[in-house]
Amino acid sequence: MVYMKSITKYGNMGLAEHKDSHGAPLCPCRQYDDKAAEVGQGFWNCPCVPMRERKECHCMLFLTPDNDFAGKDQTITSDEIKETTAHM
Amino acid sequence: MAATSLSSSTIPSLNRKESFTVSALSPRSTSAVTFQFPLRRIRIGDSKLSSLSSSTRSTPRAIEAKKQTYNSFDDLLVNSDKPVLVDFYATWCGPCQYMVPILSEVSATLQEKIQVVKIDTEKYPSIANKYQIEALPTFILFKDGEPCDRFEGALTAKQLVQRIEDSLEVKS
Repeated sequence: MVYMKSITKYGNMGLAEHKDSHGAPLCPCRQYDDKAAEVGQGFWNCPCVPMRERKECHCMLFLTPDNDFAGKDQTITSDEIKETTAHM
Repeated sequence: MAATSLSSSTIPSLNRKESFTVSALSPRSTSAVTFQFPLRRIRIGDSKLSSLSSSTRSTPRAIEAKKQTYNSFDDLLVNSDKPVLVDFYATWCGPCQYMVPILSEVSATLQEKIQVVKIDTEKYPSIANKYQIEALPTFILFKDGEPCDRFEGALTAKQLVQRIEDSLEVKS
């Protein structure tokens, strides 16, 4: 499953983009009416409440070891991220 | 159908307030369809793909995006002769990107049965709000212009085909 790491790369870019634009890493896998308000409220700031409380991450960034999509790597370099997402 | 390629300089600006772009996967050619609102109808063939068509006709293969224009999302739904699977996504959503090749494959597999359309929720928040989209990706299957099934999250091509076929079977 070579392309699984791409999920991580896109997700990290999404978190970084929200942090840059809105001051906090809002979950990139949600639709928001008002991002500034959401950042203030905090529920969806990564790690979000569902993740903190129940280890639920629908972005597939945090996975329990038994998950089919779980990889072996624990680290990723910024070069790897740039390489996958450079075309966007 | 003649394939014409347009350079980026001839593509009309997408910056107008009512412009609406979605990607849809069209069964009639090797290309997917990107819808661009408002009025202008543009068809951009993909010359790279048409050169492959004669050699790979027997197996479903990836479908690339192509542009068309509709007046609105409602117009798209009304004018579709088949049920429409809509993928609400965001650029930086990992599972949404994971679904890109899967949607291509499913569109090829089910090309007689459905049309696949993708909507960037960051570009079209009003449409996302109309359908109360929260988690991404969210898939809504429209039949006769109305939602008939709805589900969230990434899934495999096989699961997606199964889900769509089950939904269409129940409703028909």
